[in-house]
Amino acid sequence: MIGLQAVGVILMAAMLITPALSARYWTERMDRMVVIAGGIGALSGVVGTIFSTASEGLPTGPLIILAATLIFLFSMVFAPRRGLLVNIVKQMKMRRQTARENIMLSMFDLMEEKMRKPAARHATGFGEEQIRGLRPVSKRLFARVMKQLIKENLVSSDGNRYALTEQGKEQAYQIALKNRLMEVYKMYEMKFSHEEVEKQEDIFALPEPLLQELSRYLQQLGRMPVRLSKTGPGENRRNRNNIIGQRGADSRYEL
Amino acid sequence: MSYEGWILLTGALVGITCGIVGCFLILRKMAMLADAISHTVLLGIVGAFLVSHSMAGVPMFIGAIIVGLLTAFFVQLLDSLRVQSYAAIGVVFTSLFALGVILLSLFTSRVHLDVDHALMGEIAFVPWDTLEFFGKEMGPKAVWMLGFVLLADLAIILLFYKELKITSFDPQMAAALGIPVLLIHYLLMGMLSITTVASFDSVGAILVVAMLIVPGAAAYLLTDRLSVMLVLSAAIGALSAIIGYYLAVWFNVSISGMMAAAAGGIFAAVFIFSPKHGLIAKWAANRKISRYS
Repeated sequence: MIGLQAVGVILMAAMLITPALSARYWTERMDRMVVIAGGIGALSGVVGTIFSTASEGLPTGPLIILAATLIFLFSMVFAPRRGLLVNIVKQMKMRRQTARENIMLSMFDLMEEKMRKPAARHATGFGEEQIRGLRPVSKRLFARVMKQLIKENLVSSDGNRYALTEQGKEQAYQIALKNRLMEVYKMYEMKFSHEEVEKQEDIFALPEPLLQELSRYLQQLGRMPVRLSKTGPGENRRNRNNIIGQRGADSRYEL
Repeated sequence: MSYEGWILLTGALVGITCGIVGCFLILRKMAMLADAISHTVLLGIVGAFLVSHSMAGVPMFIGAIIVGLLTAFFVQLLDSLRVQSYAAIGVVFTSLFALGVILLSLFTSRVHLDVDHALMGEIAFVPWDTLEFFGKEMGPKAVWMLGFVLLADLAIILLFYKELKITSFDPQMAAALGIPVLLIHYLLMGMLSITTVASFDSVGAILVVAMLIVPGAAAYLLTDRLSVMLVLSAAIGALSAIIGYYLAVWFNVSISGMMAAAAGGIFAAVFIFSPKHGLIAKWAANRKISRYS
């Protein structure tokens, strides 16, 4: 067969690269990767050979390569953790989560602003442009996230204007607190470098004294989030951040 | 012109054309992509043959450009899907090449397209495959094809010299300046494809890689200026073709193989003796430093 001979070197290159690359999608462990890669190589060899016997004049080598490539493409798309599909879904969820936090934060900022200006206190709710103006969120995403927020009873709306419900105010407060703590933490990161903070995603996982210090900075900078709601103190202090909760409640902006 | 003269001219044209294009591949660290495209061009040639039923130049060029750009596109696509770029090149070129071989062997009974010839080339046959124009012999087809491709490459490089230069050295800055980096990338890939397909008749698809990468790599060690590098690379390409031909005649071996070997020899010499980046120069510089300290 001309095909097999001519394609020998290329077949070798393909068999070295493609099965290993496909196996990488299915596992995070070296030993398993070796076994899976061997299996994929064997499988593509068998499949390629079967197809080449199906019709006359079909060269075996190139068909084995094509079989391996198909397995690779399948792995790339459908692998459970590193696959394309899974990642696209993950990314969409992430985008939605970020949009949700951004919208809550923007509404919180707007409410806070309003409370500092007594003249504007009467107006209720904010327009879509106003909310999206603070932190960019696409129109479609805004509509979808808002629908969800209204369904969860965190936001009330009359169609055009949106306002946080009591429940929503509490949640927005938590998000804003978390966010602003994060901001000061980043500002003074060098100072806290000795604290060995690994998990930066959850600011409340930081040690208590550090949290206290951070909240002191927040006060100094005038960035301590304002309590928007009048829900019972028990509700507020359910979180670990006792001190912060109290300081927040003491704030002179309390309604 | 004599038989020998035509072969030398063909070889020199291959060396110059590949040398010039190769410079940009070296600077962009995409030498492996040259390897990939030089293989997948086979699919383009077979495809063009199946569509047009002729080995004429134009359909072959079109097929080669399409497949070459497709190769570059697939590699880019896999790269953007977080597959390591070298592994992506490996997967793409082997599968497209396999497809080419399958098509070739499916129709090989009806057509005359030799796999060995496509891969290895045979420059010794070039002078006999002449182009006739109104009954007059106008010289080998390969020379015309290579000359045309060389002119096209030169025209593209002269027209887009600034863009090619800046996207090769600093793609981020080029993007910031508003230069269409991706377009220039595909332009270069198109150039690479036609260069490969024009050279494949004489030195074959596999040895094109030697002519594309080695002169550029050697010139890279000799200078720090792009314009000088282009000239040097072309000169080294032509020189290795000429030296390779005479060595092949002397030892009575494959001409294209010897040309690639000559290019390798020149590279080895440059690697050792280059005045600035060579082994000896580096060794001397190191000694100087250690003596002062």
